[in-house]
Amino acid sequence: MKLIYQYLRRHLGIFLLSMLFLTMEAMADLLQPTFMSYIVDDGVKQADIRRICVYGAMMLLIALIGAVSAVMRNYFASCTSQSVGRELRKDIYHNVAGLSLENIDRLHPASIITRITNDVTQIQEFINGIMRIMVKAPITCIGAIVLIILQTPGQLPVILGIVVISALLIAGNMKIGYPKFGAVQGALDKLNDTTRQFLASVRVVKAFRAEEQESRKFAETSGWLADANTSALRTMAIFSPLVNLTVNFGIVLLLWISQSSNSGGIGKLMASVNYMTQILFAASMISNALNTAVRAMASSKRIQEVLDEQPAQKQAENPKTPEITGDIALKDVSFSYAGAGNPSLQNINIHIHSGETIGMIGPTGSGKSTLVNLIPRFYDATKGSVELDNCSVCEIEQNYLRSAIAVVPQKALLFSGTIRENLLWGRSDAAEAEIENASRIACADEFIAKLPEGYDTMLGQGGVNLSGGQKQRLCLARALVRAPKILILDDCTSALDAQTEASVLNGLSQLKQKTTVLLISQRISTVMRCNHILCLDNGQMRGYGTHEDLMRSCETYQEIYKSQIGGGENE
Amino acid sequence: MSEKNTGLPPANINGISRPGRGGVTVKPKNMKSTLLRLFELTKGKRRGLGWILLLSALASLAAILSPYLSGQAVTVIDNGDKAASVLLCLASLYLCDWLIKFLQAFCMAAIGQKIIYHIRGVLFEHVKTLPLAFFDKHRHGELMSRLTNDIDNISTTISSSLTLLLTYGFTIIGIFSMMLLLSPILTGVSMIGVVLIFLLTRAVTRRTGPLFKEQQKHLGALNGQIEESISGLSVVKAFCQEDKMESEFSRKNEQLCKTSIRALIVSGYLMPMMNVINNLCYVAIAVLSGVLYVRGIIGSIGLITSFLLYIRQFTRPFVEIANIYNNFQTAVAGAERVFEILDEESEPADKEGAFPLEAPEGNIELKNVSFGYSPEKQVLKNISLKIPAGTKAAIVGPTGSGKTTIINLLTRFYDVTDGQIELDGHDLRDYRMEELRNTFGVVLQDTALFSASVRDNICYGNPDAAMDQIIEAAKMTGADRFIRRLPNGYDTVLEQGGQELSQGERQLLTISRAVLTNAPIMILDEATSSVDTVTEQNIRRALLKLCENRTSIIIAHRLSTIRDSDLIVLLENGEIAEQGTHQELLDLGGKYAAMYRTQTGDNR
Repeated sequence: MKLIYQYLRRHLGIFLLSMLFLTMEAMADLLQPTFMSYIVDDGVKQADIRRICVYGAMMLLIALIGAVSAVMRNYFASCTSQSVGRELRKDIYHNVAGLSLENIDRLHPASIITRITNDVTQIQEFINGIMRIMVKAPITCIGAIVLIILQTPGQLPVILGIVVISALLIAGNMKIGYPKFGAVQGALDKLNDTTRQFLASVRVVKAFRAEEQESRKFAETSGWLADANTSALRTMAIFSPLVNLTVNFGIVLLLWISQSSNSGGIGKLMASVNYMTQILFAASMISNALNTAVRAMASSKRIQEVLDEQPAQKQAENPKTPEITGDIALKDVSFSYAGAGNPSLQNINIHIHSGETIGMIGPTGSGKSTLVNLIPRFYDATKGSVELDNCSVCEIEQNYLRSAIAVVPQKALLFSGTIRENLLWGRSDAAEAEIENASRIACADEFIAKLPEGYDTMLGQGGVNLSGGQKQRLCLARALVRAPKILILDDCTSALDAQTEASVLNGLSQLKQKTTVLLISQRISTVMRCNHILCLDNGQMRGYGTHEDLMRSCETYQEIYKSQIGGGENE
Repeated sequence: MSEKNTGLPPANINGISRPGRGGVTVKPKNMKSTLLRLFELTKGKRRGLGWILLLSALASLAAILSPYLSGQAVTVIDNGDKAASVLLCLASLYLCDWLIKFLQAFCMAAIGQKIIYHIRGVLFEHVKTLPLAFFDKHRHGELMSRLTNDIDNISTTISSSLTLLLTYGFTIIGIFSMMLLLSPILTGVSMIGVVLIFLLTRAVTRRTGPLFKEQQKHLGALNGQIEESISGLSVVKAFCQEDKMESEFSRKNEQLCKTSIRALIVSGYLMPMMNVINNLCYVAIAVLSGVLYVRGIIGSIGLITSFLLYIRQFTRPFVEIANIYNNFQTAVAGAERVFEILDEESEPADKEGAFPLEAPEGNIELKNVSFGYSPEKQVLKNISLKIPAGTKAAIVGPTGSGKTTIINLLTRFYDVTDGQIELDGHDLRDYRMEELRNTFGVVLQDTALFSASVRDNICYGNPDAAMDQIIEAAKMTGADRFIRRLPNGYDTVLEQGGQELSQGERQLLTISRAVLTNAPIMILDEATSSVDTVTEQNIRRALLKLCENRTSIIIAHRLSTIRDSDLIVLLENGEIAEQGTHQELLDLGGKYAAMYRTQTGDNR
């Protein structure tokens, strides 16, 4: 609620304008029955055509004013709700873009996406709705009550009684209904979750013949949703008609009382009945708003969570921009992921000189990817420091730091746009020749040339129209376009067959500019020829040196070697 | 500025209807047959629905009679008489109205939800029998919205619109006959207003249709951009593209905002204009009735007041029916989309007299097998291959050469286009599907895990397995080591479907899962690509033990993994390029030998 208020306040002018027109609209609505009563009492009853015409013309005029107000109200209300939506989306997006990867891991990308899309839409609906419900309904109610009392003052107690009873009923509906609609929302989330999992793992389900198991799971969650819905709807079923009944009985009472008071004027009586039904309508509007309100509250809570998320990494106060040559030093670095018990890296000390090619090898989960993630500051070391040219990465201006580094991630990620646009991500001012050169080194030029439109071929979302190997090669080319001081290859050739991989690595070794290369791989043949090899196991450094050094001194390395090459020759 | 003078329920009293404001009306292709089918589908689950329909017909009674009664009461009171009997009638009418509405809504809550539950279950039961080709073709988000949103929409909208349509329909007929009864001339005049409103509604919706479509388009573009950039945020950050992404986002966001406002404004003209027409109509009737009263054609003033009350009520149902009909159409179109899925063919049923597969030996033979995922592109071309029982076979080859496709055919995720695959001398299609798939213990390329405990994940294919069997399987693959380090060991719940584990750890779990099934034929598709080689060796040793006297098929990039297989098949472009044992292929000095040399770094 606070969130919505906060955003509405920015558009206070327009919002108030729409409120103003809304009030005029409600007034026009309210005046109509009065004129109707004049038409009947003074016109029809007296058979005075002229008066009918006069009052009729005034009534039409008021209707026209009402219509114009409604159009204006709609205009301003649409502007408000859509602008609030736009700004909410913008602010969430901006905040997310500024978060550290640690935050993103915690919030889950999929959940962030739903918050920007669905939740914002819910709030837009709600804002459109409050104008009608929260503002128009009370105005109508109060106006109608005032007019009834003005026309037939004797009705005051009846009206008050009805208002109090309806208000109690509506409050009761809210109190009992709110948590129930909350439960519906929760059950719906669960059902979505179950379905998503089933679809994501349908291959496994089929391979293991676990269809029955999945059916049971689905039926169970689907049943929860049905139960929650039934219970929520039943609450509505009890309260809504009761509100109706109260107001309708009010009409009867009103007529009953006017029997004796004889307040005069059939038209006035008609108008009073009419006002009662306006009250009825407003009351049922309010009690039906429950559902939308629950959704909007849940949505704004989820949005607030994202907006409240603070980047886990602090930016340096006086960011430095030292010359980066590719000299990397890890001083006593330890790291653990948030929430994880065991440290992923423990007391790592190495010094990598600029221009060196470093191979990194070690069992799964030994911390290789974690280690390279510390260099472009995707994560910050929990202990110790990572330094580039004797300057801690935390003190370097972030964009400056990252533009000196190019990463080729494990998972090949491309974006919709042409191949050229994707490659230009590396460096936006790269020349055509540089792009082609990078593609050649990454062994991507051949398949790009075969595509109907070459570098201008459009890639679908996530590069869906390419094979895994092709995507990996484009990612590599994208990194090479950057001409980085430090190139990080995170096991990025796994989808390439051995021959393509060999020629890619060969191309890399012939890079003209002086580049420090960090090469993570599972294959010992890939890292064997590096200047130095870092062997990790379980977050600890087991050896650092040349292939020959490690073959002599490092047990883990020997074991890996044996598993891949050594043992085979003897069989 | 909507009409108020009514006792009818607000449009969305039934069910949790989706905010339908400003949606595109999608026209169903064949309304009648879809509705009939829907009716068929709910067979046996719609007990009580008849009562609800009856109740909604009755609910219109209040709407029809109350203006008449209150008109009567007003006239009587105005004449200075006591109106006790009329008021008593009115009070009892309202009481009935309350009871009817309460019963209707209360029963509908349960029956409607039961029907939703039923349809959802039917759809899921069908979806799970669909062949993999279906899941590969359709986007998951789309299927999810079928299973949740569409079905909700169908049931709530159709059931609530149906009751409302009935109520309004009866109301219109009732009021119309009352009006006719009161004064045919005035009724004729008021029909003009109805026609005007009808024309206006058509004119406006014709304009808003394309606008809302455009809005949907921009919304789609924006959502696509959001999805792409947020799920790829690590890369965006690595390449410092945050600003570019944000400006592109802003552009699309701006565009959406603009078109939405335009669409909302145009559609917002409808109600106020309708109101003006309504008032015009009212005044016209008032003037006319005044004239008629003066001329003595209409005798009683009470008649006029009643008529004027009716005229306020008469137009609203028409507008509502137009609205509801739009929603109704959208829901029926949704039902058609659901039926499209129900019409998708399930995996072929077992042939009549299909063989049981009790103790398969594991002789696999591919005879001239050809296959393509689409007719234009053949993935496998005329492959013939024999894998005798107990053979440790391996398939290698470049990306896209068709390795995984062979596995898809063996497990009958897909069926061959041409030729046949035999197991123990019979075509795969002659066996019962259930037993056939139980014959294979499969470790697939994608490491799908479930948001359940580690233990439940391992015993996924074999829910009755005892704890020590589970631990044994995990020990065999080396998963036991990391599982013990998890906060709750085997009872640790993988909240994010395994995303919190590393790729290698996930692979170890999926292998343990396959090991536990103890299937006669083991298939490993790139199962160890992200496991380090030492662990891989351990797994391989374990698997060797497991695969003793068992047929196994391993697909791998790393040749070290498959060196000691009995049979190595090198696939290239969907054809078998070379086959033999490791040594034979090395001696052959062909492509395999070249691959092996590059991988071991032996570049002589």
